[in-house]
Amino acid sequence: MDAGRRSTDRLSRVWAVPSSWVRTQVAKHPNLAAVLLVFVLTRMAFYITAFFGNWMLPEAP
Amino acid sequence: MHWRWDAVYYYNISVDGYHPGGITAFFPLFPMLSRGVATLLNGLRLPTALPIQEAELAPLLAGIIVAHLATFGAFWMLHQLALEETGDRDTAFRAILYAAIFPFAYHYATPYTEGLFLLTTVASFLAMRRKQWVRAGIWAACASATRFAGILLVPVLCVELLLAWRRGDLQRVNWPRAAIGLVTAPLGLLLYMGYLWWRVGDAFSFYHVQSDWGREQTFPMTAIVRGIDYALHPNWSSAPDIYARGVLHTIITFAFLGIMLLSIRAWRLSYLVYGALLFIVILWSPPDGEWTMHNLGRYLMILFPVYITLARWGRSPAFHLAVLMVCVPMFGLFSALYVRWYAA
Repeated sequence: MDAGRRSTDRLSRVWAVPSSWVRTQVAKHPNLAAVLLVFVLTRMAFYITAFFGNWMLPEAP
Repeated sequence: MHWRWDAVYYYNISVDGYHPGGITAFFPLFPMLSRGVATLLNGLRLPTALPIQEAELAPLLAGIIVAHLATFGAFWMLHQLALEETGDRDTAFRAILYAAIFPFAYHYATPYTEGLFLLTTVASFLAMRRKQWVRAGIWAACASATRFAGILLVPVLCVELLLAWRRGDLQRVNWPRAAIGLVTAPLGLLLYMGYLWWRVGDAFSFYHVQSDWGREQTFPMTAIVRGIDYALHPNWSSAPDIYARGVLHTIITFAFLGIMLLSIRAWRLSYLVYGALLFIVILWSPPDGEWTMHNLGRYLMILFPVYITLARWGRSPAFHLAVLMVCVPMFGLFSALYVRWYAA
């Protein structure tokens, strides 16, 4: 139990570094963060759906 | 999975240049940039002209990189423009979100000119708004080298200059800059026409080859009436999917037209001029018969003031949710269909 909690605490401390950096950057550059968010999410959406489309759909006749 | 339909023509131009024939309908800036990036990726060696099935990695990767970078730039510029226009960060965010999830927005992720054209036109409008006339002219020149519709930025620039002069914002000291911007704006198209004259002996080849793509010159209203006719008569279409696509593009065309008409008082005069001229150019030479309205949704999706208007309306949570619920599934479906060579 203690080992599990220690591991979680360590993970939280490790995670705190990048998440704090991201929060700082978003606060510093809110416009860039907004554009990046939309850009990255829609690219991911395209590639995920394209991957499944390529896998599951037959080629157009 | 990126290289489908028109993307293959852009690939061919980027590796092998122009030849007499239908390929001159595709404007040069996107393939030129792709060729440049491919040369860099190849260690400063020009890409080899191979059929796309045997293509090297560099030219394939280059087209995708150019499309993604242009799209990122386009979203950045649109965010800036919407922010300056509305003064509200949430509205600006919604404007780029709606542009990015538009049903045909998957073209922003493929080696098509949509992203580059959106970047160049929005950047030109942003520069006009900031009264940076030379910069506006340079971006307009890039737009007119990307697609024929880019030439519409010349009358738009004239309107903005006229309005600035009437408001007293165009001082005599700025006239030379305004003149340079105005002269620069059509240069992209003019240089391409000069190149075509030298290469294929016909400066208007890009226009004359439209019939090779099944297009015919018609009065814009005729195209709309024909589109409605086909939408109301499913039995006129040769296949259900052709009918469904025609109806979808007709609905999108009317939605854009409706938004523009509803925004007559809200839009800047330059937006209205750009929108009206874009409709005329697109409907001037539509594909014939049952294909009349096909692809119109894609050609219209670069009419960015529509996204700013929708973003304003999107302050209502119900409207925002409705846009997401309509657009996101269609965006996903059309992305999946595109990679399997289905036309949308």
